[in-house]
Amino acid sequence: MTYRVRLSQFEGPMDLLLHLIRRDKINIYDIPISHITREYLAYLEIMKELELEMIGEFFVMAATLMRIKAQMLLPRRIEEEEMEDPREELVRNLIEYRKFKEAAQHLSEMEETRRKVFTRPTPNIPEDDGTVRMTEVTLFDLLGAFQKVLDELKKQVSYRIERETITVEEKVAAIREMLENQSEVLFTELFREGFNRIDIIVTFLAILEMMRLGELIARQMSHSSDIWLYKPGTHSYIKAKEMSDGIREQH
Amino acid sequence: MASESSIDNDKAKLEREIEALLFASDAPLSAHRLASLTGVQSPSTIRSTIESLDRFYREASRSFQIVEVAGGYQITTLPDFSSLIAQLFKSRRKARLSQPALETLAIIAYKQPISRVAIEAIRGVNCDGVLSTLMDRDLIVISGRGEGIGRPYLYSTTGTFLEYLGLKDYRDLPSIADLEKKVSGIDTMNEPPTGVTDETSQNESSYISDE
Repeated sequence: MTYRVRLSQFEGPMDLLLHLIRRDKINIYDIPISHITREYLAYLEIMKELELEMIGEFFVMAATLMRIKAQMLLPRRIEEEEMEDPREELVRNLIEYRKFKEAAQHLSEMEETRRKVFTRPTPNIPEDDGTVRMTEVTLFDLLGAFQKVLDELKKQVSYRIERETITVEEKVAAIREMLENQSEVLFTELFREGFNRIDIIVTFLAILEMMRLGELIARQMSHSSDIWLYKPGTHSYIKAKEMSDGIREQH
Repeated sequence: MASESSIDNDKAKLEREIEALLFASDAPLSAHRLASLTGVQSPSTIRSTIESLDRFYREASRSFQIVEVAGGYQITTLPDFSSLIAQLFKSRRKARLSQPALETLAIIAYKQPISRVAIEAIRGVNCDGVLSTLMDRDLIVISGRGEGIGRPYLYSTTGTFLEYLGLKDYRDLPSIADLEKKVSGIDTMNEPPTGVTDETSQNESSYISDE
């Protein structure tokens, strides 16, 4: 197994050209194109030998250099005097790139300075990645809420006539559909009046199943308050957005 | 006398309120925002209060300071404690940006909003991976769509970008003119090649002398 260094992580063809220009103290406005092409190709050879993983752009640049070299060697006629120097576009690009390389150097220095200071960490807001995050609602909170629903049922004087029993899968589909229209739902809202014991158990199992699948997130303000159920990526997204809008209001 | 001390009390109260807000916040708070939260009329009162608070930290040799960053104010620890705190966050610190990421970020910062194709034209290499890294780190966003074929996405830097680099605002970046001056300084140092002889150099210099 050969270890391949991915060159694109470090440098590209423009960097190589600038390196050669610097190394050979070349005037960027008057690049000796044959010389630079030869040196450039020599580097490509070394890189090939070292089995560095080279991006295609290196070969594109080699072709560009060879094209310019060919154009330079062509005899020119008087009427072509006003023609652009074949090197002009390359020089323009190199100068533009070098400017941003310089800017990147500045950014790197600023990054280094800023890394020396530490700020308050970001509070734990659920992220928009669709995974189950029961940060504030534990399984016991859910069981407690479930117990309350069962207690409510006991208080009801009359029972409705038994209907055909719904399955967990059907209930999951029903909750899913419900959350299409609203981004959040109160836990107790899912246990509407007229539910029998089986309905309640099936609904509760459906909620647990959806949380396991990452389709639902449960949150509550405190351990005794109401439990809200969210579709991942709605509530947390809005919350996170509000926070970041705070800083961006200036821009 | 009584009114003077009540003014002092108000000032001390405001200082403490601002301190509490800055301490609790995970993001820089603008003077405007602090003014509305504390019920103070003018953001300039906020600014002067923050200055006196920061002066107090310095005079009392505290380990933290208030910095102006990303259009707001933020409490940070002093740079003196960087290696100490770095030990605490050893495994949790974000990596520095790579050279390609910094270059791409620089291009976007100066030329925003800009398309991927335009960035790649400057860098001379594909920028797909770098752009998604920068997006993942919230340093850039897609801010719109350009004209032309396929209406390409346009990228811009974010408030997080300013915060990440500790910049007050975009004027804190070196100007394009300064950058040009700095890089053209390299050119004057590089005299025309003397040691380099080339079979085409004769031909090439004629392009210049013909003018």
